[in-house]
Amino acid sequence: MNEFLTRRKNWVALSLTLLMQLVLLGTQVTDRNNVRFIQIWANFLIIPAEQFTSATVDITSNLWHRYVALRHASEENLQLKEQIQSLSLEKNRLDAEVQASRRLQALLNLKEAAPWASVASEVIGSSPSEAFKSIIINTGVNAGLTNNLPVLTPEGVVGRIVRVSAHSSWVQLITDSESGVGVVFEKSRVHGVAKGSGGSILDVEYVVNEENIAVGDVIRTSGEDQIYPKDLLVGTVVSVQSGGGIFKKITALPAAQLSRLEEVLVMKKTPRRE
Amino acid sequence: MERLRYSIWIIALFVVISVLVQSKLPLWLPRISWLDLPLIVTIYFGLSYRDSIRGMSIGVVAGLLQDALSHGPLGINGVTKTVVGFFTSSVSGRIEVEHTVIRMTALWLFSVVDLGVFAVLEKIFFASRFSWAHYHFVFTPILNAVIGLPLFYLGDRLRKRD
Repeated sequence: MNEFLTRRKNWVALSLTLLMQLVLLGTQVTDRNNVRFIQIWANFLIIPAEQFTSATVDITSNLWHRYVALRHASEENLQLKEQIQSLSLEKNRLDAEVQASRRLQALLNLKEAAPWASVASEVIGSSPSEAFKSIIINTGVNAGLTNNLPVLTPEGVVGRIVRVSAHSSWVQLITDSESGVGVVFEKSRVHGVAKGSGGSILDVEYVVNEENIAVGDVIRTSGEDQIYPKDLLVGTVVSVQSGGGIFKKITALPAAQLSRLEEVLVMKKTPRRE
Repeated sequence: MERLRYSIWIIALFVVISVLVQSKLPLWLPRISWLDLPLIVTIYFGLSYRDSIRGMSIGVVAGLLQDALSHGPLGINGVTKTVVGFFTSSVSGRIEVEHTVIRMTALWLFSVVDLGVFAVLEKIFFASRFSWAHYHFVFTPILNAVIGLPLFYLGDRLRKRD
């Protein structure tokens, strides 16, 4: 450095002399806005330096804070995950409660609207065999239940009680292949029998080919079977075919969600006590 | 090449006289008021010494004195004459400084340099506040060369021989 300065001393002297005189000029002369050039130059030199310093401080600060934050981030992440899991479970529980509450409210509405006394029951099991479509409810003889009592949900008919014990009962679903419900088509008032198919649908039999039945027609209980009270919703026609014989081949979808039953109402066929 | 040597007092005297005369020139001889006597003195002494710092120093003093007597900011002529003083000294070792043509060329060339540096400073500091005629660039260097050359020979008479 010293060697450079010695070799270039003339140029260094020229530069310094010019610089001093330019600074001298800068302190005297102002620009159009009456700002001295020395101030403009000072700003020109200082502002980038300030910006650089500020940016450096910001970057360092950010890095530091992010690093410090990262030290706790993993722990915090675990805590938050646990919290999310807990809240998710809580939400699911609350959702289930809301749904149960809605179902029970609907069941209560049905109970109050029905002319007969009824017992609300909870579904506690279902048939372990696919060949038999039935469910088990948590009320029995002790609740005054007997065989052949109709079982309903607010959506429609579920089935009838086929076996009773002290605290539980077996309900044969209307889709069971041994089940038969006397029905009437809401629109045409044509009568028939809704038999269980053993699957998830009903076969509506004994409707002659001449009757005008269409897909979407609603079928209700006719009361002729002496089990189900009249005018309860059974299901909706999903297909209609003219059979080879004298009867149509009609299938219907049960109105009640038989695969998702949780609470049901058993009608006791005795007048309701107000 | 024979080098000219001057007493520091002689140099100072030349510089001061040139500045004082220059300040009176517009009054006495308005037709040649473009003449730049401190510049001629700077060029003369610059060519007389190989030492760039000495040449530059003469330019600084001449220029600052010229500024001090003008109403302009201090330093503008100082800068121009600093540059001229430095470069005249720098080239003095490489050329025959006593040759008439070279002297005239040097006077003309360094007058152009002086005006050029002045124009740059004027552009930086004063934007368009000064109205400079372009012919200034043409005639001032010629005038400096024409008047400066006899003054150079006058100066030669005051030199000390090595």
